[in-house]
Amino acid sequence: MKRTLSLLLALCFMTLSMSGCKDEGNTSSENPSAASESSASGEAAKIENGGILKNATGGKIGTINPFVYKLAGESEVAQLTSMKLYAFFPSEDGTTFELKGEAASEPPIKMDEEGKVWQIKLHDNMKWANGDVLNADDFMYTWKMCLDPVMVNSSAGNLFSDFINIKGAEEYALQGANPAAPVSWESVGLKKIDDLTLEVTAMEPHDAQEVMMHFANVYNVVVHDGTYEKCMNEDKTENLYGTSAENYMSCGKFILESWVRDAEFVYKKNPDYVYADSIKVDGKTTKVVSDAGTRMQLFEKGELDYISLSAQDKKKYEQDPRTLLSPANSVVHVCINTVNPQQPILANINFRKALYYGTDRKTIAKFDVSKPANYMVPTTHVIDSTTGKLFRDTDAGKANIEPDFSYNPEKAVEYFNKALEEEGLKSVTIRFSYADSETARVRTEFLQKSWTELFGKDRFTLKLEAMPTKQLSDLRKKWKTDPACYELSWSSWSGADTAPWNALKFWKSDHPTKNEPFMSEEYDALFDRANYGEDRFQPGVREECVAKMEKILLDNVVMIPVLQGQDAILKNEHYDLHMKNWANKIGYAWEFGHFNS
Amino acid sequence: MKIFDPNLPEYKDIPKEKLKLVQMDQKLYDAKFETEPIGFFKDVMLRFSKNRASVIAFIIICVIIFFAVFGPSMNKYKFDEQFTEYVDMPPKIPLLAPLGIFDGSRIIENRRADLIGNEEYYPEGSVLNVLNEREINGVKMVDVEVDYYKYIGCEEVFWFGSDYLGRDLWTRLWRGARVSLIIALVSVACNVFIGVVYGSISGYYGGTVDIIMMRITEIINAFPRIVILTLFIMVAGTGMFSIIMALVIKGWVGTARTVRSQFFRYKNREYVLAARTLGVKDLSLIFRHILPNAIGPTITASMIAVPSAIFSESFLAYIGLGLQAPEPSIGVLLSQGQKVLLHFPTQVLFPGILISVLMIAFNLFADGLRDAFDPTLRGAS
Repeated sequence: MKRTLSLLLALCFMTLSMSGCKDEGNTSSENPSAASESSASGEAAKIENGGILKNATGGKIGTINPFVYKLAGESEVAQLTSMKLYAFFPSEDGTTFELKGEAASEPPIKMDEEGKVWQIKLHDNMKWANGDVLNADDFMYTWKMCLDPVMVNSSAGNLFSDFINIKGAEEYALQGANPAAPVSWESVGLKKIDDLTLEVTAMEPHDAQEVMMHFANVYNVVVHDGTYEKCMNEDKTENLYGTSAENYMSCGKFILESWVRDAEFVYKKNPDYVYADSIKVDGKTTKVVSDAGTRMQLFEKGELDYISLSAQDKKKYEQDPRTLLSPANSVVHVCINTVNPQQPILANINFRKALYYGTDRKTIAKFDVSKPANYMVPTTHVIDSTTGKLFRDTDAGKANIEPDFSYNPEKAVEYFNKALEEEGLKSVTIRFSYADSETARVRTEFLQKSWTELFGKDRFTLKLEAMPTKQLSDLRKKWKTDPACYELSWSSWSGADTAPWNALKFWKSDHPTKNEPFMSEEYDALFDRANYGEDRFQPGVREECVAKMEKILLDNVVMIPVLQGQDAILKNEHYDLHMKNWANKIGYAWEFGHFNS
Repeated sequence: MKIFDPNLPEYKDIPKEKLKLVQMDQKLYDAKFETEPIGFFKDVMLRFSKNRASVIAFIIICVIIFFAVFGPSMNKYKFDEQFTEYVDMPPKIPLLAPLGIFDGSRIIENRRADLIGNEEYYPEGSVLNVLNEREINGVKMVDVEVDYYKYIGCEEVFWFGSDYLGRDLWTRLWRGARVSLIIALVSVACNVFIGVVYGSISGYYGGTVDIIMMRITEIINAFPRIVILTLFIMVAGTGMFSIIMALVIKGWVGTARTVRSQFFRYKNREYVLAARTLGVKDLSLIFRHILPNAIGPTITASMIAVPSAIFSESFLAYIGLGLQAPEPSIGVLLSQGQKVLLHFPTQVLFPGILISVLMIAFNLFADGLRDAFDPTLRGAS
């Protein structure tokens, strides 16, 4: 009996092993697309021996459609594979960035005395990955689709109003699907002059730098008309562009060869890219690995060339010479939904101040080796790009910062008592929604304990609610249609670090994707003055406006600034960077480096 | 054999004096049993106590329950007390420290060799060993084994170490075990109650009632547990209630089926028919006369369900659908420990050991009960 059983087991084992072999064989023969993808990437590695740059990301990518993406990780893929009119590149000496034309061949040309009309010349012989010609028609199509009044894309606002306000664009984009008095596309200040020339008409006078900055926005990448049309549904209300490699067309530094959702992006160098010579690697692969431990194991096995370090690994590798520090271009803050009808106490300024002064920023920052922040303009933001002066180093910037990182428990309790009294409450229970990441969990659990201890267990309860990052990001923006969508949550915005007056747009009354229901005419007026005002180029005006805007945010406790992140990156010794140091806008410009062996 | 009859001719001639009653001088008794009578449950106890593995498992369960009740108060820390200066401390058990285990030491990797001896980085007496000397980008690097408590300057003692917020893991582990056991026991008790009532009615009445009731169980069983839990979380938020409900909504179906099958087996027996003929009501027939026959399999099934419930709770906590912070459970601790497995493996070691022991103990205990309740094995040993 035992012998029979052993024989049966052995037979089963053999069958399983052999069926495994058969399956592998079948995969390569029955799935030619997979086979061709792998052989193509292998081929890319051999073409010029530039090597394939390999990294990993923890964030999942939902879409790379520039009209709808919201996450930094999503826009990064589009920056690699598509083009903007202008973009930031590393300087020749690798010490700073330079803003220059990407699809545009030169800086914009002023066409009128005031500086409202600008012409942009494009490079000749630009191509899409499928060989189609890329010219002014593609940009006109992209702009028209971005501002489409039926689709009402979330990034339309970034096109019609950012560094410049494009004439008639807002009226066109927001006219609705069936307007009583239609606004025609022809009335929008975006025109094609010829195949290689575009003309932009702004509402206010600008200089060339502002026009370039506007079109260097991460949302303003070009889309391929044929592919975009193919991805549109019948009634033209939905579009699948950028949801897979097949539904996307590349034209940037790299061509997106394959995209296995939630697993891997494979890029190969685009030989037709305008600055193809400056890209030394043959391709790039980005694995999607949510677990930091797995990413580290892959790096240690030599399967990745660089990785972002988790809080634990930052401590582990803090003395390692391969570690590069990269200051985050944003301040992590607690969003407050002041219009939540279920929590009217959130609209109470004293309650918000209680939370503001009751936040121990130093301890929270210590958990993930970052910097405590009781300000909203990050330390990386440059107020004067000609001198490189940082806003936080200015007197106006320093004046907004309170001592001890605004941690004042006595003051917090005082405000808390006052708020409860004003609201006629004996206790309060608040819900804190956070992304299900390790760092967010640690911060939130600390706040739960410290706020509860500070205000009293019987008077304050903080309920925690974890959810995926994307879901939380969408939830925060729903307050206009669903005011009870959230109460407190974490967020951070990465704005233009070379233009802090523009980076504060996320709290403007009409910002389309804002998290906090904050409306202030005074704030809007300051923003408009710093961005479009006639005196904005005069010395000190922008500095003053930025300081005042930040003060309004802090005084009204629109949000609670907590920390400014400090990323740490571990780099393989075999890869040399073009950049000698971290720089605004481009960081370490990884794609411009090369392998030394 | 013949029976005496005074009218029969062959007996007529026998004089009456010769006849006597044979047992006139003594009373008649049934023979006495040499052993004491053994009832069903006593027999179960006897057979269970002969199963050594099950008895040991039972003792282990008792010990774990003891620590789950008293463990969190065995030291001065509270389960949610944070020592933010002392996060991720290694375990330090003073009794075991002389043996070189759980002595509060840790190897910190990737340190610059030139900083060894610098008291600003390494307080006096904190360096125990320097290992793995190497060069990276021209810089000499080493791994350093340190007395982490001295290295950090921590005067507290965390027996099982501390977590990412400096919370004592001994306290959290036993508190977590308590929570996991409560979830498991409450959900199993609910399952048994619902299952027994439902299965009894279904099995006793049979026919259309049974068909309808069984189809309902099949529909309920078709819902994935995670979907049910997500719905409860949406309605009632994360917490013990949602998890217990997620385990109860489907969990009783198995018990109901077991009880139903027992009813089908016993409901047409003679003693049941006799009771029914005598006018005993349905409820009494169900719960007094038939249900006791299903107790054995039900107890066994519920004991097997306890580790399964603990495991389910741990699984749900592990995928992030667990209890609301800061409440721990074994699953929550495992989930958190796994995230720092490569850095601080002891954070997953202790909850891992506890859940393994708990699972094995409950399974062995349930095995013993099953054998003890098995009527076919009665008197076999």
